[in-house]
Amino acid sequence: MKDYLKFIKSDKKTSSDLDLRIRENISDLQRKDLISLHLKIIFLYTITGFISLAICPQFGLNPFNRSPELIHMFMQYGTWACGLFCGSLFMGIGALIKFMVLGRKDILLLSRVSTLNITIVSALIYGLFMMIGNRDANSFINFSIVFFSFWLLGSIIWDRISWLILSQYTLRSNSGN
Amino acid sequence: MSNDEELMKNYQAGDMSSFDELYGRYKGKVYGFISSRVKEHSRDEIFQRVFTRLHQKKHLYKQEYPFAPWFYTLIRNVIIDFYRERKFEYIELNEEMMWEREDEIQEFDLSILESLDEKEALLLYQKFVEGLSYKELEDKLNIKSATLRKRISRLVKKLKDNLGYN
Repeated sequence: MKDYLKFIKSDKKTSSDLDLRIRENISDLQRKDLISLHLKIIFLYTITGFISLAICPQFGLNPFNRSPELIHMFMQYGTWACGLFCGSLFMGIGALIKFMVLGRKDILLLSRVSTLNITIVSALIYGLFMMIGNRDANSFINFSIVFFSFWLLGSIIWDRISWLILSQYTLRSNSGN
Repeated sequence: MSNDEELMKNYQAGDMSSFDELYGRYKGKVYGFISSRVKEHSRDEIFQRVFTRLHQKKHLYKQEYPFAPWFYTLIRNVIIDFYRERKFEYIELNEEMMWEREDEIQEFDLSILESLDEKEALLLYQKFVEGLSYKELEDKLNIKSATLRKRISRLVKKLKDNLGYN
């Protein structure tokens, strides 16, 4: 207790050089944390995209030899409906994997990662899979602006919903990592 | 104005302006506290280590608890770890050992510790290097703190006598 009071009452001036070094060091560490987090997200979303093909053979890829019935069902309502469903599926699976795999440190950082960041990463993953998929002449989904826009919308909506639900549970139960 | 706990919450989420604010509030306390425990040439290094460790461990802080005591514990652990490293460095390279008790630094040959038995040497190590309080030692060793105080005081006097300080 005496020692703690000593700490609270202490006051010694630091040099401006030392202050600058500390700030630069912490900014550098923060930058590295964010890069690491984004790389993890990209990797997880890539895995997610692959897993989502087991349910819905989107992106013109069908590695699990799934029937296109689900896509046809949504396509009855329009390309937008199919895009919305596929994007939601992608992000729904992605959110579950994210919260299972990422630690408390990354989840806390994620709370400030903007919608724009998520949009860009999702679009990159979408683009990557479409580039791979469109080499297949028997594509189930043809690339279109409408499909892509609603795919993004579905993924963003599900990202925010899953964040609201899962982050509270994860931060309470995951005391450290 | 945000309190420390709110600033830490924002800092955990990556807000650097909250870190700047916390740094401004605590740098004097941290440096002052380190200065009372460490020689001048090591202060800046430990000061940097404290804030690096704060950044690395910030996710472990929980907002429902006050920030200052949590931070104080972190600083203490950084200082203890620093001396733990130095102790081994000195044994391996210089065959000398540095001890710190309050503001006093004592140097002595490693051979002096040979005048103590294993239990005595361990007791001094736990008190002055690991930084355990008398209460913590009492709980750990199941010996009353009054008895421990007498023992440690006798051991320090013994070492001082061996070094010719008294």
